[in-house]
Amino acid sequence: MRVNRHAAIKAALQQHLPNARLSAFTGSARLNADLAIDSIMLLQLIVHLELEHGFNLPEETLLTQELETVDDLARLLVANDHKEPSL
Amino acid sequence: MIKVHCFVSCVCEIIKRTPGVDHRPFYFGVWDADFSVNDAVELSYHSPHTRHNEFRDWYKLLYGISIEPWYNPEADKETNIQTLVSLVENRPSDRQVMVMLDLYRLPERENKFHQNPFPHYVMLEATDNPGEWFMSDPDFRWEGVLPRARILESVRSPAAAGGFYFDGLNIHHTPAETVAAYFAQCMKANHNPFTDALRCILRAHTGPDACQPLAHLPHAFREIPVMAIRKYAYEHAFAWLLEDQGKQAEGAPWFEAVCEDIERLVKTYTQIQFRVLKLVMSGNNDLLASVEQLLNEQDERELAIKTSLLELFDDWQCYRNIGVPRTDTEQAPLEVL
Repeated sequence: MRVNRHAAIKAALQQHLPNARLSAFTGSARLNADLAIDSIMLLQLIVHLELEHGFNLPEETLLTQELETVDDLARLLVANDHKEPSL
Repeated sequence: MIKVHCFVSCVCEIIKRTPGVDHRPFYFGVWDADFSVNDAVELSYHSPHTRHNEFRDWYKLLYGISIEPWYNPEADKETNIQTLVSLVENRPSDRQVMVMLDLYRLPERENKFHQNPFPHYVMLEATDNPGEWFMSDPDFRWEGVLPRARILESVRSPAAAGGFYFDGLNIHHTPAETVAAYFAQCMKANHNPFTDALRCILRAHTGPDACQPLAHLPHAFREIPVMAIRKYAYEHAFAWLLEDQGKQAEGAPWFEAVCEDIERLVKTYTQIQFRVLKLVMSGNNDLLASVEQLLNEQDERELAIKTSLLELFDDWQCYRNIGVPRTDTEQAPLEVL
């Protein structure tokens, strides 16, 4: 079954990051400027996606890719079969 | 230049606008600029005691301009606001008036850090409209007109307390000998205070000797991004030391490789923060060793950058035919914002 990455991102925001401006949530929404997600919140979001939604973002991606929009984040998430957080 | 250091960006703006004078040597002091670790063993880019004295002294020596404080920490906030209003509304055209405000209280300004509070220096000027002031924020490369009352509200924040003014009438051409002395003062060739502090904070929150709860570690590391970007100051130093010798920086393979190392240094702090969040949120203690490993790699990476910079500095001294003893100074660290 194909898991919806956007739905997982929205659910994780809803559950854990109440300071995010969820009303502005769309694929093209900018994480910082539109959703008010700062750099720490973004990292928290990624860990929640890893621990609870079966996705992770390889660290190298974090170092080399620009994560500006929800679509950017969704595109770079990879399905994660194990529950242990990756290094 | 992206945001690196708001105090330095403000005072450098007038230097950048002066032909024949270069602001980049002033960034030598920024990569290891001071910060604070509070009683709860949390990192903070700002402390109420920050006065920027070292930066002010060197600015005078490098460029001949005195940066005068106008904010009186002994007086109450409204008295200081009145001083600010008077300075801004009676400002001679060559005077720069700096004030610390809480950027979090100006949501109309884009602020990528979204930190609450966010103490930050900007420069202000009156406009033809008494209800509006012009704000120049070179650190975020932003300028524009905002309601005077909104600006003063952000100055009223308990988190903001500070201000300076300086006149740009007689900017010196920077003497090479003074630049060399400033470099020698700034360069901590054998240690990296920021990474050292992160290691101490980590150990205060983890392991059998922890004195702080593990759950507080993400908050203790919260301001890493504000300080990590100071490492981009290395780029200014490499570029200036090359170009002052008549060599090309931008586009040259050696310089571009150095910039990649600096980029890696900055971004690996994000990786450290990421692993710390995973450690705390997952409870997987195996991640602790991997954070320590990253800190060790950061030390190696930054010391290698410093070694390259010291070699370039030696070349530059030969080119300029000056000699200042190269020492790893143990003097008081520079104050910050």
